[in-house]
Amino acid sequence: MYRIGIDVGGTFTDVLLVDEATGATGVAKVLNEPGRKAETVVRGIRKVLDDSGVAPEKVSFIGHGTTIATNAVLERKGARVALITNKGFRDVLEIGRFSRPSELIYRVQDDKPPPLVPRHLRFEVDCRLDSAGRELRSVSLAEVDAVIERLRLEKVEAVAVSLLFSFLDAAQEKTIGERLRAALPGVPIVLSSEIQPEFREFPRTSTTVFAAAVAPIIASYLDRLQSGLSDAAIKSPLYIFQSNGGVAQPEIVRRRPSTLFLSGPAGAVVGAAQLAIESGYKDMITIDMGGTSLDVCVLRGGIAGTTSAREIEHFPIVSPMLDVHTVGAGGGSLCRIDEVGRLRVGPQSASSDPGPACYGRGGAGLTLTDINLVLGYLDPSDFADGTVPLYPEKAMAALQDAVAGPLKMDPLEAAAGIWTVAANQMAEAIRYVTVQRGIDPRGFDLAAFGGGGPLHGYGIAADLGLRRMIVPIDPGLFSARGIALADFTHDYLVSLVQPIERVDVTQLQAALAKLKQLAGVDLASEGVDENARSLIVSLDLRYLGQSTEINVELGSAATQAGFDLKAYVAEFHRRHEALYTYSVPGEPVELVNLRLRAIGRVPKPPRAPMQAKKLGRAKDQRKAWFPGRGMIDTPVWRRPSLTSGARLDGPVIIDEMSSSTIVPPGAVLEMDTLGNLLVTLPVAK
Amino acid sequence: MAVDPFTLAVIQNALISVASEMKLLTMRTAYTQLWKEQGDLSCCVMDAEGQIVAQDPSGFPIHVTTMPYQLQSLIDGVGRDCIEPGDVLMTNDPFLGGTHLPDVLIARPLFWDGTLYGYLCNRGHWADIGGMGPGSYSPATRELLQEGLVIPPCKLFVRDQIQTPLVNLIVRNVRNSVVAHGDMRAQYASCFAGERRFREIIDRYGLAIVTEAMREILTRSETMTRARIAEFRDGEYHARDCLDGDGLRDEPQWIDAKVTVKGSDVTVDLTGSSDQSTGGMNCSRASAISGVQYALKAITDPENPPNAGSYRPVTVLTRSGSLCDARAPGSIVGFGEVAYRVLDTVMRALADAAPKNVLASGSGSTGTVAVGGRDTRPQARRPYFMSLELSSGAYGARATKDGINAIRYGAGNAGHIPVEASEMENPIRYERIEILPDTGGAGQFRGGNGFCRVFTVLVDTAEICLCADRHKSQPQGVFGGLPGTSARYVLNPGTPQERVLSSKTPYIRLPEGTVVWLQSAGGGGYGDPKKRDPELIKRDLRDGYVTETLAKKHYQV
Repeated sequence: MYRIGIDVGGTFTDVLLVDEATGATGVAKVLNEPGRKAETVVRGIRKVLDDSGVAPEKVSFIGHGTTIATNAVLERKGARVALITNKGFRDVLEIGRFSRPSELIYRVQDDKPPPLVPRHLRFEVDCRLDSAGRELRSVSLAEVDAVIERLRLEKVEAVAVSLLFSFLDAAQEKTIGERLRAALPGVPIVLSSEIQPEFREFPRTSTTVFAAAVAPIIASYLDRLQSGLSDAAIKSPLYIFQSNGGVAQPEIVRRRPSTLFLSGPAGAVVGAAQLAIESGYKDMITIDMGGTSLDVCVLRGGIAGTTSAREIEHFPIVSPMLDVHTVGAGGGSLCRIDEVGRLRVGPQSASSDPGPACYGRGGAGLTLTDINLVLGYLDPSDFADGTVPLYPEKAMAALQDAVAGPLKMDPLEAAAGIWTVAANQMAEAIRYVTVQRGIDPRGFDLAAFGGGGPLHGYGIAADLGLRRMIVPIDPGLFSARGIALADFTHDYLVSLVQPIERVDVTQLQAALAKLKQLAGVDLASEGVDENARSLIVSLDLRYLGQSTEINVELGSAATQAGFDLKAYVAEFHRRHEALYTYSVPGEPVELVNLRLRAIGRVPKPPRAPMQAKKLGRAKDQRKAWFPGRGMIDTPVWRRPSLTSGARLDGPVIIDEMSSSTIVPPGAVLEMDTLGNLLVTLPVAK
Repeated sequence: MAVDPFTLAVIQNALISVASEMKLLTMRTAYTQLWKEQGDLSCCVMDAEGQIVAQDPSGFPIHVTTMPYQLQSLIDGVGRDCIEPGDVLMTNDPFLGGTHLPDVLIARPLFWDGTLYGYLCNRGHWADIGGMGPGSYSPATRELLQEGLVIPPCKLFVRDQIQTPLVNLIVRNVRNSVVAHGDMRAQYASCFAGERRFREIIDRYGLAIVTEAMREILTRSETMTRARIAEFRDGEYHARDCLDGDGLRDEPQWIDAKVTVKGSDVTVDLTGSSDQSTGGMNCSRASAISGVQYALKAITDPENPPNAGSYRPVTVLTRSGSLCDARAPGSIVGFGEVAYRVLDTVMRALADAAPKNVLASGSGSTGTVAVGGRDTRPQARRPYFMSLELSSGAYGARATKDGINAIRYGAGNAGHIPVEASEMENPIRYERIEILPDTGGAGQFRGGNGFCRVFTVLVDTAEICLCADRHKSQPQGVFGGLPGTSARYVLNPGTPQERVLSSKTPYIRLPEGTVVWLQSAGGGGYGDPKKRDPELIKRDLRDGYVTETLAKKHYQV
């Protein structure tokens, strides 16, 4: 049987076919047709099946990653959405946290983006729960009906319902929701208690509004996709890839589209996690660098961290998601000198059209891609397999105008300086991620992918003191592969909030049993075998009074014979000290949440080892810049001419379709048995 | 030794990260809502002379701009020669260049091979510092000692050992000692974490380069700010604005700003302002300077990170014994209100010098309302409950845009407590949080609308105090824009028990069931209302930001 992974990118859709038995893969890359996304995907699936001669009924699983939700809200092309909330509180969505976002404190001429629901579409109902979840005023159906009339007049396409304290009791939201669903068939009705029953009204309302804004778009997309698949006689089950790095049935995603918003960068991280497991690289920092941004994620023991909230344009989204940190640094990042001689790299970025100066399409701004070309890291005649000619003289002119001229500096020296600053900014992003999580990055490997990762990787690694960089095979297909082989992942939580000394272990055990039962039902519905299931139990703890918890997971031994709460508390103190420089033994500790993550492991087919072959030859050599060495002759290889076991001394550059791997002098490059490139860097003095 | 532009960029980024991480760590480990939810604290990296080199990007202008003044006094107070490796210093004395007593400054001197190379500073607004009522905010105080506990310059750590008796003395003198202790830990721990990062930077580049980079960071910012000031129209400008009462009497207190723009220098002369008031509506010279510097930074170089260099081209003249340069032992609790009015006045004085850059006056107050009392409910987690309601926020209109509705404006930036967080911790219930139509001043561009926070008190032990402003005067418009409406503070509105409060109300008891209505002033308008785009008028009517009545009156709709 076969599995399919689909990754919809900006320009192309990648469809990857994996043979479950042998691990052999087939690929189709199809150009996106604007306005016909579902059709493009079906076309891609048919193409990969035809090309590989595989019959549709041989496909047991289709995993689908999509950025449709994210793009719809970023481009403000979501549905016309209304909000229903308590009387007196319709402006919670607009006022938000009340404080200005940091970057606007001094920038008084700039606005924060308006909410997705304008004020005339924010409606109120005079009902209310108190802070213990008791009903103070009940829902008047007559009032709801009056709102429904307005919704009809306004031709609203989706409705978000978010009431105060609905995370304690969902009944009022349900009453309103049922009335709306009966009166407005076909209009998605999204309740905050179904989306994310967690405390704090602004983030919950914001998340619900985001979900409602994309619900109709997701629904019509899935309708078209499912009917397209059925027309093409492809009956294998379809699963949607979520921000938490796992897949779920389309029905779950239709109900809770908020699980999709940050799924874009998650595919590559899951791909990296699989790489880690297959190849035995356990602790990795992944960098995925594209045209405008850099995504950073930390994998410990092959497992990516998770987090629960991010923001899109200052509006929070609360949903379990892989902990991917994004900064504005990519190939298109603009470099300039300001009026007083300070260098700026990003966060502004050249648009993809006309692109960097060296594309020769009229772009005049100096970008990191131009810098990489000037430094000899890119081959002007062999960029993207020769499909995009690059013009070094245009890059040079932009460099002269933007930086070297104003600084009265040798252009090469300027380019080298900019490159170093860029590497440092990317390293800062990694430091931010690791320090925040109490991790010392030294001792981690750097997994570099995306077009820019392997170009900048050695500089970032050097800045952080990392010893080894891994450039995986098929980096362009990483994400599709991750999605094809993603596990079923479900997160469950009970909010308990009580001092740990008052916790009744029997009760805790009972709560866990209940979660395990829910997990059992979900995994069974997905056909996951008993012995392919793993359950990870953890507790969120904090000092009584704090608002931020530390998640403590101790392995199954700590819960086997009833919870060993002493051990959890001891581990909490230890982690608090590591993260925050101190712990307070004797201070009361509070148990906040009991969490269960249920994973249905999908068997990972063996990755076919590389066919051993004769080592090819360097394609040519070019001058490339290295710190302390200047421009030196550097052999250049095409990646396909390497073979497993190959070992080359730096300086050397490996070109491939999607990127170039830069190996500095003193470093050693090897190709492992699976075709990954390993760059071992010299120990810093 | 000259530092190259690339190393300079790298070191500046790294130092900002140090300050940023310090704030993040404090918010994550603190116990008070004021920090963990509202973010009311700021962190800075200072050089060996105590000048700001980097501040956390979310730092409040009023915290950070005053910090070097208080740090100097702290160093002098402890004795410059007595500062040693392993020290952590502390003070909250507002007359030593500070703000008000609840803002506690913790500073870590940094040493490298025995040489002092800088300080890490964390200034946080404590939930309580003792004094006349919960939250320590009574405006009807005549002297500092009534406001709470004064911590003179002292060492909290000696040779990296915490001074436990001192800690005990401090936390015993504030309400909810456990909270104060937890917050103090969060504050000093951030300095240790920051130091770890700072040392890595020096390890890498060497102390000489880092020191040189710190100097250069300031020089470049100064040059940038000067270049922007040079674009302003030279001249002498003047504006006056007032505070409604001094805390004890309801008479206007004037801020008078004479602003001279000449080449790349700005001088702001506040010496014509009213004498120091007998109540709490006064501020330190440092706080007045922070109001001036915020106005200038916002209209000169708002894009780049601020530091001591940004502030050099601006000279501020004050008169000791005036309300913006108060003398001990007077009261200073209303420092925020005075600093906000200094900001409004200076901004308006500069309207003709930089018409495209300025804003009309914003809501013009911190809107501080402290609600608290003994928490005698069975589910109480602490002996006292306390909530700091921030009831003022709206931008003035701008040259090309309306003012923003219901948002924090000016030199502070604390946020709201989420309704659900507050109700779970405090015996109060919110009735509405709503943007109020017609409160922003009309204009070609409209002032931001104010908002209301309305809640019912659920116990009989609550006290309330107001330390705010603008309940009589209005935020002014510019270039023909109209003023916004005044703030309103009312108990039990629309009932026989209705009682309108002054924006300066000392602690009063609230019977169970009292409804409290807190309403922000609106921002001033910019330009002639007759020139307003009809599309914007239509949008405002549809969204209820402006009513038909007002539209008819000002926009001839």
